[in-house]
Amino acid sequence: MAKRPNSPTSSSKAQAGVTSTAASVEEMLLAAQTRGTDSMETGRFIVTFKDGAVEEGIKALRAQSMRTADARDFSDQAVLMDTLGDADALVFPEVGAALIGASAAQSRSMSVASEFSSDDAMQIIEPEYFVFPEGAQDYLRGFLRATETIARDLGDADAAVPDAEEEVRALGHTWGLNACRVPASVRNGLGIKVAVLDTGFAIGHPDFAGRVITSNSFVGQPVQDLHGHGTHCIGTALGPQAPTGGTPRYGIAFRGSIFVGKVLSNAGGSVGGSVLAGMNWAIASGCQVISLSLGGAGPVQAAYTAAGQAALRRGLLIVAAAGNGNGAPTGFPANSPTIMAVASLDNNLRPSSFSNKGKIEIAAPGRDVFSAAPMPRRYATMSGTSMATPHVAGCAALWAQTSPSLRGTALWSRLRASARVLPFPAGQVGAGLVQAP
Amino acid sequence: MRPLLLRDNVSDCTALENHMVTTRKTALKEWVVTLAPDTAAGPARTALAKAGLQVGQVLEEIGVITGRGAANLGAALRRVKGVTDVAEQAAIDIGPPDTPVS
Repeated sequence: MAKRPNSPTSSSKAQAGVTSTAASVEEMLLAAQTRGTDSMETGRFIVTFKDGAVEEGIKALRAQSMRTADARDFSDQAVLMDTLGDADALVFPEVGAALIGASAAQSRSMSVASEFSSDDAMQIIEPEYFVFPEGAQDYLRGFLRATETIARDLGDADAAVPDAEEEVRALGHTWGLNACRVPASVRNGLGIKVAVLDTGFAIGHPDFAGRVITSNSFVGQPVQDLHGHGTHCIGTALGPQAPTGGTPRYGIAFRGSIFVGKVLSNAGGSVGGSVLAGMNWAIASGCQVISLSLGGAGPVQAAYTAAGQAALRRGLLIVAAAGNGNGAPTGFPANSPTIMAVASLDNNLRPSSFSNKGKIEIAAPGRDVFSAAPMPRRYATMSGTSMATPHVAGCAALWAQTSPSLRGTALWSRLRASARVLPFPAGQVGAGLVQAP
Repeated sequence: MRPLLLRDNVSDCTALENHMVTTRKTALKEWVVTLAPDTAAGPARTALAKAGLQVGQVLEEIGVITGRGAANLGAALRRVKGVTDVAEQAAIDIGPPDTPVS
């Protein structure tokens, strides 16, 4: 009969630490991010027992004074992870393996280098890794599609024909930056404050070393982004000119001042009036560009219109995602008359199928957009009007840098006047595809 | 392992249900009050509190005051001087990590 784990007290959980069997995924991700390495290891270990040797394996763990928990102690063997308390090991008898906490393994000199003899119950010790739904291949998707587009364009007399130099540059940047003509721009957003109100930011991300970041949370959680959405949007708007490891460029205003407002929780939801509070803060902070890749289906909300109005009066510009309702009317806050609504384009410059319609001011790349992700993942490819919006925010920052008169409504007008006209109704693409100066 | 949360005792269930009915009757709403431009936030806050609003945030830059109040408080809040709009808080959710389109 397996040993019942001690009932957890708050002090034993604190002692157990962030890489114990009872650690939550959130705790481990936070710890991994502050380590700032590329490693996908959680810090814990998985011991695999030899076939049929589970009971012997449990005895072997106990022989090393490990407090063991067993899935068989739980109804349907569904382990309630937060009841494990200070268990050193958690045995999964059906799988024939056990999870070992980091300190439990270290104090017994167990590591991946441990060797076992033929009569040992244990077969191998391996690190536990974080796993994510998307594979490492997805970042290539955006680039492969870019090369297809270029090949197609070169054969199409009606489309803009990139010269050889542009083609090389195109492959050194995301398709979205290329479409917005960012690589050719001499601007970098220096002196312009850009606020991104979202799920926070992956503070410590290697691509942002040395950047000045001002941040505030309005959701009762640390600014550290455990969702990924906010980091991705900030990457597009403000990512570096030369990302680490020779990664192609994915960000626009690489010298812009980064203002991170965490208005969405790590689960992706607003908390009370967190979005309004974030907008208030960004306006009080004098951010010339404020980017909101969020919203909801529904009519214009007076509070958001008031926020947009306050921003414009102060020479600040708010841009927001039109929404991803597959052609539904633009949602709030983008549907406010004082906020610019951004639609999404695919890499063939057609409106994305998911992009909302109606009140649209401008369009930008939003399909298969490669950008930053929280560590250890580092990068991710995402789609949505959420991805189109920071393209506009980044370009707006470059435009704002060109002249102190390009603020608020003047900046709004300039973005629309300089957009690349597309053969689609204004209700789908507004004035067209946003362009950098 | 027997979960500790379920109660088999019938009288405990009744007490819980009574509590839930009472809470629903007095359920508070999250209100968002928009002020006309250049309305002084301080006096507006005082007047809204007097009308029954448990003031949460006073967002001076954008002229919005949020708070909690009775479900039928809307009309009373609208009558406060300087108020141009009263609405219920609309939640925003972009979905969990790795939602296919966001």
